[in-house]
Amino acid sequence: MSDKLFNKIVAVILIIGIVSTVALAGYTVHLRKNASITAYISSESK
Amino acid sequence: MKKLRNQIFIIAVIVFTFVVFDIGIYNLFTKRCINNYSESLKAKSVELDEYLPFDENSKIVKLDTSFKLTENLPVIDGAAALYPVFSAFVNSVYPENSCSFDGKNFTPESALQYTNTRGAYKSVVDGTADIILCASPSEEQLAYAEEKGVDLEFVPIGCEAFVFIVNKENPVDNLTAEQVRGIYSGKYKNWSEIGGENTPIAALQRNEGSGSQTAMLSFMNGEKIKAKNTVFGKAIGFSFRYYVEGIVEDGNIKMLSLNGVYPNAENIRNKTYPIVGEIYAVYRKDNSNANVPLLIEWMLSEEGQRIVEKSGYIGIK
Repeated sequence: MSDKLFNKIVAVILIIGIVSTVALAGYTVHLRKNASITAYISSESK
Repeated sequence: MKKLRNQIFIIAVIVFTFVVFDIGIYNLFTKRCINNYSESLKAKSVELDEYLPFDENSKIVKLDTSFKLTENLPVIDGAAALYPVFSAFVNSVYPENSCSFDGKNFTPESALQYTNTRGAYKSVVDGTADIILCASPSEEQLAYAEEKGVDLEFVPIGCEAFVFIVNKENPVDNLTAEQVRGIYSGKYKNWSEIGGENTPIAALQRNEGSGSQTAMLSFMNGEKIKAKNTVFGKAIGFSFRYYVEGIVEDGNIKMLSLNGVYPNAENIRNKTYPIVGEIYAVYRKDNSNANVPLLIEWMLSEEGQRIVEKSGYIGIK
């Protein structure tokens, strides 16, 4: 594999990885803001 | 060949790192925030269709009462935790055609409405509801009434305990009122400081204007809530006893004793539990519907109080 292709693959993987992590973090913050007290406490032991 | 193997290895390590990191976030934080309750409980804080009046499968208390209304029906609304009570009142006193439910909400012409505490206080001030059943109003709700030039009458019809809740696996069973204030004021940040495990305390709160948030602010007695609503550690929250025991009925949650007193019916009745508040029937003083005082008088009668008690609350008399 040429260095150019390798660098492209690594760049694409990094972008996908960062975007998915940010999206997951954002989704978690959204859920956390809207979580009911009882549901949140209940899920602590699930 | 060796170069290719190294490149593949690097790519695999990067992918693996992201996958492990994201799975870690999901398991540690996201999963805990997912609300597994039913759509109705999530959206309305109560399963409206489980406590409908005039429904043979309804969980409400059904009592054949001597007092009946047939016309000029006061529109009733209120808090989630009190919905089973005011739905039972309607079931006992109103004619069957007085309520209509479209599967998700009560239709505008229905004499029974449900908009929860914040909506109910607005409705009674605006005149779209005649009587609401709620806990004490927040300062904002009182200010809204004042701004609109509306005087509200608060008639206590029952009692209820304000409770603190944790997960059933939390080893702490009892806290003092000062410890709870200490948690929410930011003095205690770790459960080990108050007899629990060595893990951070996540002090949960509700939105402004909800009945339980208003009760919490009153409990804090002017002390500012500074505790962080963190995603780390084990949580403590608050609610009203009947909401926890009677509506949510979640076996993973336990109520804490406060100052060594558990919030059961007996301790609420004899007021040994430290935070027993009144639940009110609230109406505008200038409401001209003659049935409003009659209905409230009936709520305070032996029949009305029997519904309050059988619904799981403590009567006022």
